[in-house]
Amino acid sequence: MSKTSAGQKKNQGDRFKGYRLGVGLGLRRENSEDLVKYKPSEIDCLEAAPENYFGTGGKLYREFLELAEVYPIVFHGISTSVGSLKPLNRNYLKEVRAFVKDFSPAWFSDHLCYSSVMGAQFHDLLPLPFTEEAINHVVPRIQQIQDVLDLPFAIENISCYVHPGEPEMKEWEFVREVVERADCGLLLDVNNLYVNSVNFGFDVEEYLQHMPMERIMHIHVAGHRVMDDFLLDTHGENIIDPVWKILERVASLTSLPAVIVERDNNLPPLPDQLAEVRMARQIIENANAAGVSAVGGAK
Amino acid sequence: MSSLKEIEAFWEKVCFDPNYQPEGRYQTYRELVFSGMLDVLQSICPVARGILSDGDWQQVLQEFLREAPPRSVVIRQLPFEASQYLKDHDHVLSETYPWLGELMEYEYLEVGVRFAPEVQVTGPKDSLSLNPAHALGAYTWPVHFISETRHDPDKLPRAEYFLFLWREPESLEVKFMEINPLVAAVFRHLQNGPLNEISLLQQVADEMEIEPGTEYLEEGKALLKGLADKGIVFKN
Repeated sequence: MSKTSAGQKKNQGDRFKGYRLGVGLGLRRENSEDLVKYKPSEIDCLEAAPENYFGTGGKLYREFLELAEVYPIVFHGISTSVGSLKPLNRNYLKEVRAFVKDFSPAWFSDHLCYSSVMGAQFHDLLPLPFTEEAINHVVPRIQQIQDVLDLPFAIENISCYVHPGEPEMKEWEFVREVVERADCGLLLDVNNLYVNSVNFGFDVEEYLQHMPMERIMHIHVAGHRVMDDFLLDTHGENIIDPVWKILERVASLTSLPAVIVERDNNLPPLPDQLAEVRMARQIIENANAAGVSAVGGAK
Repeated sequence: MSSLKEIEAFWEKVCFDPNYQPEGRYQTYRELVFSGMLDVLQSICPVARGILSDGDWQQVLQEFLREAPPRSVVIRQLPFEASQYLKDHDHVLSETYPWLGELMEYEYLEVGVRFAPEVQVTGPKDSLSLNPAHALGAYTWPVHFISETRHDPDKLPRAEYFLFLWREPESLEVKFMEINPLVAAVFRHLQNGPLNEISLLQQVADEMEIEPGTEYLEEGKALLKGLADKGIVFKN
């Protein structure tokens, strides 16, 4: 079976910006059948979690293969747990490598967090302390991940509701130090950035000014829920204007190899998901028109 | 609390230690982790979930998470891990729901078969192979009959039950059937690899201590043809 080449590499010398995947949607069990049925032209690429597909077969897997024939796939994991003290799960990484290689992925990404503690696995993302010790812990682990996968790797900023321990630095310092010392890409989730800016009262612009824009490979746009005294990152609500504004701002600052509308639960009908993809595309096209080559693959 | 070691141990308490009461937004994290797992378990084990009250369901799963925290990175494996813990241990509600581990395993098997990898079947010419997308469950409770209206352990007949689940090659739908010990033996032998029809029937006869006479062989061949028609057995 032939596979679509996901990484439309333009410039071998540019590790973080040399790809152009475009604007896409997170592939979920709930939207898979409709995506196969309609193969919407609004989408340039799809994002998929390898954990959902490796070692599987059946209907969902066949849908995935069919979609991978049409759209480049960008792989985004949830299980590396770069923060945990236990050694990296090399069997998992090898399974990822064996699976994704058939789809010529441009890169792999996961979150800057714990997704397991003391070896117990879960599927939520717990924040790390913003400390020098944490940076020194995660940087070599990210390098190991890149080595095992033999792929560029992008780490994602997560949303959080607490700062465990005593923070020694601001969030942007922590994220920046990790990506620069690990020499990896950044997956910037602009919803997570917004949620944290409200929950902890920091300035988004200050954060962006200190981020290494040249390392942004991948953007997530998503929704959240307003609680009594904080914002809860659900990735299950519509994207609100302040989050779109952040995308707009980032697109004005740097080119974006991939922009993914990410909806993890409470998925609306496909046309509503596509409306958010079109919105993201419009923002990117506006940035392009203003002189920033924000994303490739725009239609 | 400042070192990574202390913080990870703290997160473990927040997520899994029922004797620790997290404060403030740490409680939010406990709820997120717990409810995320409950959602998965509920979606894959709807029958078990429908029988247990909210309190019982949470109590038994809290025990599982505390005593045998999940290890798999594949989220759909969570119900399997829970079922194995509940099958292998006396848990807090063993007396009320002694069949719970078996039922949850049976419910998980449907998902396991639905997502089973697509393996190319090969074997010597004319040999028989088992559809690789299958599961063979052996239970002491009639898990396939347990429901919200039928789950009193005193009224459920204890016996040896064999249940076979398979994914139909064309429709990809998962089917199940209750089978007798002889058919279970057929499947067990085919699980070891492809066999020709006569060898298979003879091995089963030896195991079951049946005289492999003409009648047995004819009935066996008819059985295997029926299994092939259902997409359970493939002829190479």
